[in-house]
Amino acid sequence: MRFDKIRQFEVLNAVLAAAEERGTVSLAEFAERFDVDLDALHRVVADAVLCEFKTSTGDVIGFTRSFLLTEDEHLVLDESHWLRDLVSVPPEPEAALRLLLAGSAASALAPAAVPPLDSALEKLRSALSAEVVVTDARPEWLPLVEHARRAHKRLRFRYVKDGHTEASDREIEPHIVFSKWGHWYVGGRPVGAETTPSFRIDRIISAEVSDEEFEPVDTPTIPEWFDLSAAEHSVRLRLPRGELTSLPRPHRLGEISELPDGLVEVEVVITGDRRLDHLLVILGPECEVLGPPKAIDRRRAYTEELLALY
Amino acid sequence: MGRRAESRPVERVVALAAYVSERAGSPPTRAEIVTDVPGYPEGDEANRKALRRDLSDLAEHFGIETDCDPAEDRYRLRRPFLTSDERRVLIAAATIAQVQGLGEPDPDDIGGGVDEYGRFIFITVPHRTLALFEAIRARIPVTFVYHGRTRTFHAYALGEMTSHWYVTGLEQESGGQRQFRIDRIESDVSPAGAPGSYEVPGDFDAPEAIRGVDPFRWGPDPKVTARVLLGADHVQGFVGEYGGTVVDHIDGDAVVEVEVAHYDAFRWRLLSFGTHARVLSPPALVDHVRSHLTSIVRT
Repeated sequence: MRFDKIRQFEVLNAVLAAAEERGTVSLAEFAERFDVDLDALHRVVADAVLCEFKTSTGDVIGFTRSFLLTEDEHLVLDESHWLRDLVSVPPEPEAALRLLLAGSAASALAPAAVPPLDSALEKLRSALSAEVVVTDARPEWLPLVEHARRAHKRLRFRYVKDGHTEASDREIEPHIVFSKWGHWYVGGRPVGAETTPSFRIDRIISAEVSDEEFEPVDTPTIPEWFDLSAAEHSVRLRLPRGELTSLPRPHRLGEISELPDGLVEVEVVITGDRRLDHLLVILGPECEVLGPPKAIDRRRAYTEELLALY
Repeated sequence: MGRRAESRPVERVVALAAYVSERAGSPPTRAEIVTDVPGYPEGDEANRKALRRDLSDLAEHFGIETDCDPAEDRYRLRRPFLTSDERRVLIAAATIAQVQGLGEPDPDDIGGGVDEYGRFIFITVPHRTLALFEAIRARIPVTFVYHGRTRTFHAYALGEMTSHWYVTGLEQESGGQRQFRIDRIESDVSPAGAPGSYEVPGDFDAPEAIRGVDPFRWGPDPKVTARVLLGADHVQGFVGEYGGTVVDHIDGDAVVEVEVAHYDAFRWRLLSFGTHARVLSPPALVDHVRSHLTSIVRT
């Protein structure tokens, strides 16, 4: 591919950005990624990081303090990406939106305000030309959980498990705190167990940090998905099509059979006893539970239990 | 310096940025630039053109803009958009947080070059968000299908609420302000007009509109204050998800008051707490829940 001026600027920007963001980059990696000759790339990068000019007194100034170009063809950030320091245009809107969301989420973990982050987010908002509202979704116990993880101390907490209504007491070694699927989780090994389940932090009712320390693990893993298949229930329903949007989530729908009177029949798979009970009692009288028989019985019994409250 | 003939475009443009930056306290003239920065051609017209081209390259390819005062013939860099500290914390944020659903960042975007292995925050944005974002920026009306009906929409704002993304604005068919959950849009989001076709009203309050996606707040029923008795273990879950305030305690349980304008939505939410939640008042809401449960038992 032709390595013309525009392409040189493009590749140079990418290499310098990566060097700033990773600390060091291999020129060979970028030569391959951008399909350019390594020697040509070396020359362009060298031109940028070794550039020089004269001062008014005639002294020659070299701008060599920001990046180092090593003999083994790596570019290393030494001080700062001075070219980026001079950028006066805001990031492209899509990039600004991405940074706004990442920065807002990261700020939830900060134990105290981070003024440069706050001012950066404010500037990004002003650059969007569109109102984007990001709520502060920091669960109440996130700071304490994160503190326990950083201090390598066990965490005791009271917790309502997904799909259940009863709370229970837990004690874990908090190995990792992460955010996924719109929620914050702590992953860790319960005392006396070998598994490392994840707990949704907004379901923690109360928590305290124990004095017991634990040995941190090297590479805690974030689950790809939670296998909740053991807690799945399957129910066959006949209901107005519009009611499908009001079913508790998450759920899976089987094949939908259209009936002549605007009703549909469908198999619904839902996880957890609590979610099943919820499903059974939110359906109005126009919705019929067709099976299995135990679901029909469960619906009646649970509805009567709720009705007894009134 | 004796390198004029060897100079290459990148070298000259980068050196130009360094030079003008270094001379911030005493902005240079063109004559000074073409003398002190290596690589400019001889001749007034030639170096004028070369400098103009380099300044254009600097702006277009590096985002570094300059101003020139014609009377003084002096060149100054414009103020940076972000400080280096601000950029540093944004890079740190991009190192730990990945935004999914907006496409891949360009390699020279801030955060576009970070290592991805240490990420532990994953933010997922519905894939139609970007089209709505662009529509809002350009004020382009859009159409899409929602709940089986085609809507023509003037989008005003986007926002995230209780882990879901919404768009709010003016629906042309109803003439009213509406909110749509983006992951429930059933079709592509298509342009339905030219850029600049509408204005976002000056008094539009985006945070309030996004908070208003909660049906407790915008529902069709007369607004009432519900008093709900909640088991102690479920107060945080209820208030955290649906709002409200603890106003009293009864035998270890808590009484929470919350505004309700959508009785069906309230019932749906109340019943998700099973026997751990009971509406105490007003009578209209108590009847609403009781009659629903009674109708099921009678089937």
